[in-house]
Amino acid sequence: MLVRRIVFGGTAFLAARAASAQHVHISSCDDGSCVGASATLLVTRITAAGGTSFNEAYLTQPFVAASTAAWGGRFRASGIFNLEGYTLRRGELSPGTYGEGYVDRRHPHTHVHELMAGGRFSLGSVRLAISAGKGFVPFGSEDPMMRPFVRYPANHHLAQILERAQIVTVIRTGPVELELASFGGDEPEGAADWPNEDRFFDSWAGRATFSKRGLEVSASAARVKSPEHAEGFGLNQNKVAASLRYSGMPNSRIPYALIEWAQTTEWLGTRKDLWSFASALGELTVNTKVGRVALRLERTSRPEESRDKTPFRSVRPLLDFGIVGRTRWENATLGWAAATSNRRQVMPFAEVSVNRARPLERVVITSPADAFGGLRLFSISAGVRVGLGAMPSRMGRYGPPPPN
Amino acid sequence: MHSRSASVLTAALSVLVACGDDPSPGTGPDTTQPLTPVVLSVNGQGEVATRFTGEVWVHGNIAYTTSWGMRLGLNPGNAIFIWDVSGNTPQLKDSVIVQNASTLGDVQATDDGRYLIVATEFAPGSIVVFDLADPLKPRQISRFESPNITRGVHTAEVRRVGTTSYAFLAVNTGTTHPARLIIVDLSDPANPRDVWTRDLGRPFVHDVFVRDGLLFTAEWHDGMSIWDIGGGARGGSPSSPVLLGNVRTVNGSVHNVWWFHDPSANRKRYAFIGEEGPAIIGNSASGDLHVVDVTDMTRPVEVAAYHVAGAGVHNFSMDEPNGFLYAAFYNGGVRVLDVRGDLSACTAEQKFPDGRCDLEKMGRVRGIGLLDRGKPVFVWGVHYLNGNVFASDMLNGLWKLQGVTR
Repeated sequence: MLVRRIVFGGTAFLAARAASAQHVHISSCDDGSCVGASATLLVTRITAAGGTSFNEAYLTQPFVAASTAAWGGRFRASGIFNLEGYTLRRGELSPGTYGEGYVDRRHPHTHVHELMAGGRFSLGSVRLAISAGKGFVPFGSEDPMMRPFVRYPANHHLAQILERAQIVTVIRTGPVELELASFGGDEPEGAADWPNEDRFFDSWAGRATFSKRGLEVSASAARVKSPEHAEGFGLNQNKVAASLRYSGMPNSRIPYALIEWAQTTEWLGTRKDLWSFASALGELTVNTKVGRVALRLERTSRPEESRDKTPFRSVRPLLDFGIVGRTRWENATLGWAAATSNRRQVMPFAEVSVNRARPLERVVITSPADAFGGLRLFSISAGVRVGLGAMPSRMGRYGPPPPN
Repeated sequence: MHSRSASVLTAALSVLVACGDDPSPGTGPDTTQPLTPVVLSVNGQGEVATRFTGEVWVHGNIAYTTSWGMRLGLNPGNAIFIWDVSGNTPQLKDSVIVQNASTLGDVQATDDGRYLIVATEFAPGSIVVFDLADPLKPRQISRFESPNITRGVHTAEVRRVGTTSYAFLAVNTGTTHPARLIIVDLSDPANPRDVWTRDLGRPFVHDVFVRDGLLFTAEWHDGMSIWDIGGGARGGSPSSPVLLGNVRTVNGSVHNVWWFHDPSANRKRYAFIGEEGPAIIGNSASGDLHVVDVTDMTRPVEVAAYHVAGAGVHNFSMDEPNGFLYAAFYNGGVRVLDVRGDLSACTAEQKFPDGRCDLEKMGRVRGIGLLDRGKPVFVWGVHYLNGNVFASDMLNGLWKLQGVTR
């Protein structure tokens, strides 16, 4: 029987989501089959000191996720269908975020966010997994969608590599896991875009992780060919990242913490070290009597690009390989979310952020002030997450689970 | 004494090599005695602080500058500024706003000074033709758009082939088509019509150079190609160019070309290529100036280059009678190279590790301009005319400098 067991509704999706940050696997889903769905209704107000205000509302992060296992767990497949291409075409206002032609607005993800399948084997005490498809490259930290905040950090494109055609090999022995991937470097050019065939296997990534008693230390590196130019002629990236992650029991005082550092250096041909972008980020979740309280502190530098049509969109496809500057963002976000339970599938939340942007170049060609009217921003977001069904406790992990 | 002897020997060998390779008159500087580049004298500045300045073209005493991008979050690059440059300091006389444009990347007048052609970006893109009956008051007479142009015209070179003027349009990559070159017949400037279109360049074609019925195309990582469009004896024409040859220069990113006619030796041996490397616009740039020997048009070969650390080359202009190449070098200001004589003959010490000659080590750098202004510059284009050099500076406007003399 291909699908051994489908979990649907018995374990709350939001519990799974909380578990992703709190070191509780929903074993029936991680080891078996499940279907889940989620969407977040979000209202955001952003005000720039001395500038203008923006009030917007979105249906963000709507997706359906499914995973299945068969033959005693030796075969696994997972997929996520993301609907942001329909609900988030203009992007979600989010100071500091960038990528795929969006600036200070988080871009919509592709419809097929993940579609991976593979097998697992054992060689003595060593367990192996090989998977292929489109999905999360083993680099950096967990996808922000599975972390305690609705709003994304600015370092998404420094600390994660998503939605790539790839082959991933995972080797685990005891608490040590080594992941290696060969993938296509091209970033999606739109929500309906698929990885380009002629870019398959032109990039690689590797991640080593040590896990024990809720602590997880990981270091990763990647070489990505021309992510922003689909034909493959653009700037290449050398990426490194390191993180320390803690996952406690869901009801413990501190169920989740993360510290990460990531750096991306861009190069082209013989010009090996054109410029770099770096990020340091810390996240902490605390259970309180009034719900979960989370804090995120971040310092991230990003490229500024020539803008097209609006201050929130950069020129795509690229017409040359220059940038127009770099900006460092210092962001602090305080979040609150109602406590989750197995019965509750609806989770109100609120997040408050302060952002400060600082151009790093002597001559400023384009700055976030062009869009917001100022470089110090205050934002407040509130809304409700709705979940249905169940899903794996973590995204982008294609190897055998760690020993209990 | 030992090092002195070695220097003398090296110098002697250099002279021998140079003499052996190039016995013709006008052999350029004595490359054994590198010259200290002079600082170009600045006559005056026409300041533009409201927009980023793009290209410059000068006809007679009138200069036209375009604008680029968005400055201060308010002012798009849709303005042409018109300057009286008869005096030392350029005087702004008027401006023209081009509708439905966010960048005007190129501007050029026809050789008879009757018309001005401006390229527009981004979507949909076009060239706009102005009548210059009053050179200070350009009057729009036509605008050429095409279904083959969807995201803008990056540059538009205007040259005469035979008796007819043509515009050569380097068209941007679109979401539905690659970069391409379109040749437009301007024999009736009020009704431009395209005569040839071809997808060209990987991933871009950014510029061309046209002279003596030959078309030189800057095709980025596909290098530089040479086409017969009437002067190559292969039956080519503007409506049916015939490919003669191609060269891939070091690092690719071939952005612009100038084919040098040296009247002192009656030679047409070299084409100069600008490599547009990655840049942080306004601050730093990269990309070398490459020298290609086009003696055999079917097999052009790169022989030399000029590298400026931390800066990159953009557009060129030349004082051909005196053999001086003026190059816009973005944050590196304006650079003047003595390109008369044999640029492929140099000593071992004057070579890059890959064997090409290094123009700087050969003592070919004769002048540097605009780095003495006490403020950052980012020079997009240069135009040499009658002893003066006009430099368009993205950050500061239009400069008028004194050219170098031999």
